[in-house]
Amino acid sequence: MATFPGSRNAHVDFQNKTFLVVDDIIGVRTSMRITISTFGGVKIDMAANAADAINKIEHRNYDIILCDYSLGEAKDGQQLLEELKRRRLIPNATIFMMVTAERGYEKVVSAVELAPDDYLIKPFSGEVLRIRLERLAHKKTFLAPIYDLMERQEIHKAAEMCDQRLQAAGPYLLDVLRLKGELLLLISEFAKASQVYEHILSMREIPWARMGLAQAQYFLENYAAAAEGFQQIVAGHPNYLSAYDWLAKAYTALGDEAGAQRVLMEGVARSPRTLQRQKDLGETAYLNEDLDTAQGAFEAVLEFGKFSSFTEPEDFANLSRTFLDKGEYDQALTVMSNARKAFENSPQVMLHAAVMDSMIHDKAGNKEAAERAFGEARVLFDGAAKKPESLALDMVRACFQHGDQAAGEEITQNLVKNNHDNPAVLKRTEQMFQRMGMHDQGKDLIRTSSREVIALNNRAVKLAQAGDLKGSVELLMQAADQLKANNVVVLNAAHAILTYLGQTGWDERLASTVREYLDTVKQRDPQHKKYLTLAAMYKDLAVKFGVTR
Amino acid sequence: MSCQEGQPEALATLDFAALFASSIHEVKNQLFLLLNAVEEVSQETWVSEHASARIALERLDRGGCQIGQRLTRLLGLYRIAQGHYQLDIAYHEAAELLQDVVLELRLLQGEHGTPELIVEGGGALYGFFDREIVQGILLNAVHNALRFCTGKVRLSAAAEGEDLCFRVEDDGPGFPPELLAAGGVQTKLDLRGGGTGLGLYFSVTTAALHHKQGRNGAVRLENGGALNGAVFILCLP
Repeated sequence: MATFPGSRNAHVDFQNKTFLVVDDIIGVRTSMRITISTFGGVKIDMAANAADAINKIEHRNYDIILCDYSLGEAKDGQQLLEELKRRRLIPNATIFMMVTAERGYEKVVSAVELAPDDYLIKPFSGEVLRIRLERLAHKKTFLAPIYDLMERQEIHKAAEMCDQRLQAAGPYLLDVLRLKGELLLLISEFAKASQVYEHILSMREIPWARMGLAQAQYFLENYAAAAEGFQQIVAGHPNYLSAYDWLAKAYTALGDEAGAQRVLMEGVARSPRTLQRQKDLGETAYLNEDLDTAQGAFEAVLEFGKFSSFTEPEDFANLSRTFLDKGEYDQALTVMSNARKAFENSPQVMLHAAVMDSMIHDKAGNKEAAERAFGEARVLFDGAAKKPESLALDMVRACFQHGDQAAGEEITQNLVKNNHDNPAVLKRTEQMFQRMGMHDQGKDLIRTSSREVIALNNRAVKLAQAGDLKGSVELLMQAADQLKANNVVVLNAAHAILTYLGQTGWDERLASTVREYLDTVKQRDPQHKKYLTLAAMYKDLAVKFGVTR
Repeated sequence: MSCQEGQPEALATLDFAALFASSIHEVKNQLFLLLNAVEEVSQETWVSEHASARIALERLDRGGCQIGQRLTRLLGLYRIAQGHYQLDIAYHEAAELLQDVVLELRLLQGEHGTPELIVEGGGALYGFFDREIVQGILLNAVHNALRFCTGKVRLSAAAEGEDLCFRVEDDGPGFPPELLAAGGVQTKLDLRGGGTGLGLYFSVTTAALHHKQGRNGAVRLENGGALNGAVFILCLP
């Protein structure tokens, strides 16, 4: 047997490992402690529910988490795992083992994208638990070099490391292939990712591999093939819920909004408590003018999100806007008044409420209240740091309702310029103008505004092609400073500067600008593909020029 | 209470299969708590000093685990019949699976004396299969073998063509001819002779759930083999 680190016959010392046992039944927690102690574990903490577990995990690093799938009334084990991964509270090296009394839990485990490292079906002995944990510990050790690179965001190198590990993979062949596929998707190597997934699928039809292939096809803009793949997963594995969301995205990309809504409704029927899916459904139904479905979905977001930190003032505005369009003005006002209470009159909620109120009062015929709210909205909007797209759109609509054409057009131009490559935003903008009976004017505004951004980009590319890299950089920096909210523009500028630095040598002033640009995007979208690529490029350049910071 | 005439309507329309399934499920959960209590008591120091208590507790634990396994098989069949069963096909090493089976056996073995268990092969041999299902099939086969053997049971894994095959062999009298007559393939529940044949039925049904490019997993029964007794063969594509 090979003796690489993580060789499977190496002994695992559980005495130094930290354990967290999550179970809602105190008797089970106690007996798990006894079971763990039979193979030497002594550092054992207990949590009675998901919230308790998160609290403990935030304050201490655990090597091994043993979690029961059913945790009573609140979040179940799977939801806990998803939150831990989404919030990056546990590193890849942590072992997360799901415990379940129910064979049927596998339906969930085998179907979801985010599976635990392993699961155990009750009843089990301490010896079985020990063997399983030892195997997992060995696997984690084998994969550790890849995980380390991933933690440091060196995704390209992590993908290369997968190839090295594949030569010695043995029992971990599939784990390494899966990681490699995921990493290639992260760095936008979609064609290579497709190859990895096709290779796996040639060995066996496995749902997550089918999922990976369809995602790669989606990003390669082969939407029809992607939709077919997602459909296949939904048909064979109806509990693979993220497949519904992706299928909806593929339908949207194919221009089939009705199909997207249908699929989201199926997903919501299976798991009504997923806020993002309800939100997507609400927005898609609203776009499809199916206001009843939109209302139901937006209400569900508020209902199920009541006690979580995931609802935002925007969610209330979505529901209020639906009521407004249905002509139910009292309801629309009540929703925003609830929002003020829920967010304790924060500046953000006051802005949303003022914008909505100004439109609702206007439609309801309360001209005085409408004017007052609109005045407040104008002041708050100008001073707001954060302006989500839906808020900007509401503001535009309020402006036109109150006869302030100039402000409405200006906000539209800004919105479009900052989202010139985001078809969803452009579509919603166009539809809003259509609703206001200003379809042609809206289309014009969108076309001219996005053309401006594209033209600017093209000018920069031409300068670069003509050899004037410096001019190109300056132009793109101007654009980035104007359109800070446009990830594409900001990253193009960063890319141009990095290319320039690569050719002319290190310049600390420009380098710090790059860092600022990259941070801007990272804060909004830490997984942005091009951001990751450029962050790696920056690191490589810094190393090349011997700059360490 | 007589239900001869006018059987209560609610009872007549009751879905007994579903009722039984959910009851079995509850029983299984309670069983786990009981087994926990047994394990807890077993840790007490006075138990180790009293052989009779220790033996009684071991018997409780063993019996409980066996009941648990039977219930699991029943629930598995129910889910398959309902079309709810979702296979969890993953990539496993055959040797690890054999290790798991032996581990479970060590907990269950005992009342048949101590036959010699020979475990061979499976190292660096991998396959795609549902670990829980294959473990259940092999456990059942080994239990049978332990019951009928005179002293030895052999558990092994090997590649046969493109298939991964597990064999459970014993040195007993072999399978009865009527069982082998149908090529060793059992397709319906055999309720004769005390046993329910549930184990074999479960094995055949769940083996067939594994498939690759039109080929299915299968169970074969033979007599002869390495120990000149019964041979149970599970082949997975």
